[in-house]
Amino acid sequence: MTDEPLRHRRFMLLLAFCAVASAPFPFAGRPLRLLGGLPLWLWWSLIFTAALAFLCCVALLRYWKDDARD
Amino acid sequence: MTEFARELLVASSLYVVLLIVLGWLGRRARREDSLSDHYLAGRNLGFFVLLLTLFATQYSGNSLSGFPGKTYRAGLAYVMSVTFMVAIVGGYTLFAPRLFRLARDRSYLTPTDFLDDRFRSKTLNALATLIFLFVLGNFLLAQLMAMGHAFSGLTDGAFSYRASILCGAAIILAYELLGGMRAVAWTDALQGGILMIGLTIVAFLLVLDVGGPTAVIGQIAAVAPEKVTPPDLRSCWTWLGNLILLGMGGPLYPQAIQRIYAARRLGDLRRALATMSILPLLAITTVVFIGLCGILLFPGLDAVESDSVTFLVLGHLSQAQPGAHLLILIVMLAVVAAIMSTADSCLLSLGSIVSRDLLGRLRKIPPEEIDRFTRFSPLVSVFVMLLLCLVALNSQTTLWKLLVLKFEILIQLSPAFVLGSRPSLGVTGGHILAGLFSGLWIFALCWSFGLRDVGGFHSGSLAMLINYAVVLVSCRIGRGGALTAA
Repeated sequence: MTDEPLRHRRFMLLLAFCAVASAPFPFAGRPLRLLGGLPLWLWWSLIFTAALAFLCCVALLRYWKDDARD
Repeated sequence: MTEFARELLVASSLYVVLLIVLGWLGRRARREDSLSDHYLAGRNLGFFVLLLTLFATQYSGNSLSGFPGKTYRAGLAYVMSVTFMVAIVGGYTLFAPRLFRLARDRSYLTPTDFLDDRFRSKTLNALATLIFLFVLGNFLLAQLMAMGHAFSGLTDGAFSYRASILCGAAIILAYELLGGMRAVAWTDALQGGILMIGLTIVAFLLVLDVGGPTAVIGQIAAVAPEKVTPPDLRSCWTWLGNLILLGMGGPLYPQAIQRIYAARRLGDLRRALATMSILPLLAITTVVFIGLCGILLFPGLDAVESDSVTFLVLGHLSQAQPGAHLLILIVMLAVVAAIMSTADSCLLSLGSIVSRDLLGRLRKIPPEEIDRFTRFSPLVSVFVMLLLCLVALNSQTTLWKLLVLKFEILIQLSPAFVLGSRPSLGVTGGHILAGLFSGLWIFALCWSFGLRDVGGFHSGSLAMLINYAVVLVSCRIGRGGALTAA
């Protein structure tokens, strides 16, 4: 059985969305607001970056299969 | 020479002996006299070595000294470097699965082997080889120069810039010539390990000395609020541009592609890459934290001085935490290790491309006879290293400018790998060449007019998007509008 991440289009779109959303566009030019001592825009970026890392792991470990070579 | 510089010199000497021993062990582990064994370690790298060699290769001297410098100048917005280091792993998912399968079945040695097998275009092979050589040559040159600056700086000038470059180059050549990829991967594993330990130590010491992230950001907000305010729209576009540039370009480094070829099993490769996607959340946040602490500890540095902020912070820690003397020594070694591990991987990859793609392919040596080039590999490595040492010793600023170009040129090869690894799309060598020439032409045009970015978006990333569009449109026209993916 073979599989690869690119065959899962919705999943790859979600991955691309997390990558793009990590840039803090909604906060551009706005005043600094803190949450738990850290800027709110930093939380936003770090959460989407962590989501991107998690989705990359899922893509590699779950959607990349090749029984003949594993 | 200070006491600390003397201790660093002793520690570095011990470290070099260890590298040479690993090179010798790599030679003893050699199974056959072939290019595949020399340049890909017999395609037998397991999970642990593969992970550490990927880590050490991806995190160059620039990551440890350049990133904190950029954080110092740009402020907290440079946390974008965490995202684009994760995005590099995302970039692998676009073509690595098919490339790994093909590399196993068709015994690829260099990235151009895939392009030749897939497109059978001599022009594309020649152009790709030139791009890879340009990128690797520049990258290795940068590492040699960084090695010169780092070691002469760390030893308080006891080792001159020139002596540091020549000694570093000789050491890398020694273990690479002894054991090829096996030695490079094993020394990378050692260097990657030191790098991980070093980063953990520096994060721990900084928290003890300056305070945690909330304390540091709070203090910066009081003295330099512009360094923590949300990035403006232009910076957000630059963020996105960097994400595309590194996410698409990082996995295309020849040394990165050759590590895909060198994996023992698919499972090892998948697990190593998955771990690599998590590591930036720890490693690069620490690197950014060093830059942020630098803003507090050393205010008022200019652009050139800020590139040394890592060394300034480490120097401060060695004075502020006298008990942590040995730990700081390990961190200093980690900086040298990061530079050396990237340099050795570049040199090995350059050697393989010169042997296989330049000498082998241009002289039309049949694949079954290509292994006789093994005997030329040491000569190729020595020649390449000597040439680049000469350039590094007479460092020219124009070459540093060329260095900036490398990613923007490299990503023009992205459609060849991403679309080329999907045969059902019907993309031919002609389509890829049309896109490649368009991308390179647009990029050259932007560069010649001094247009480095459009609203913060890199001109190279823009050229790559046009490159993709040209390939897909020409392919669609060629197939009468019936473009479908498998």
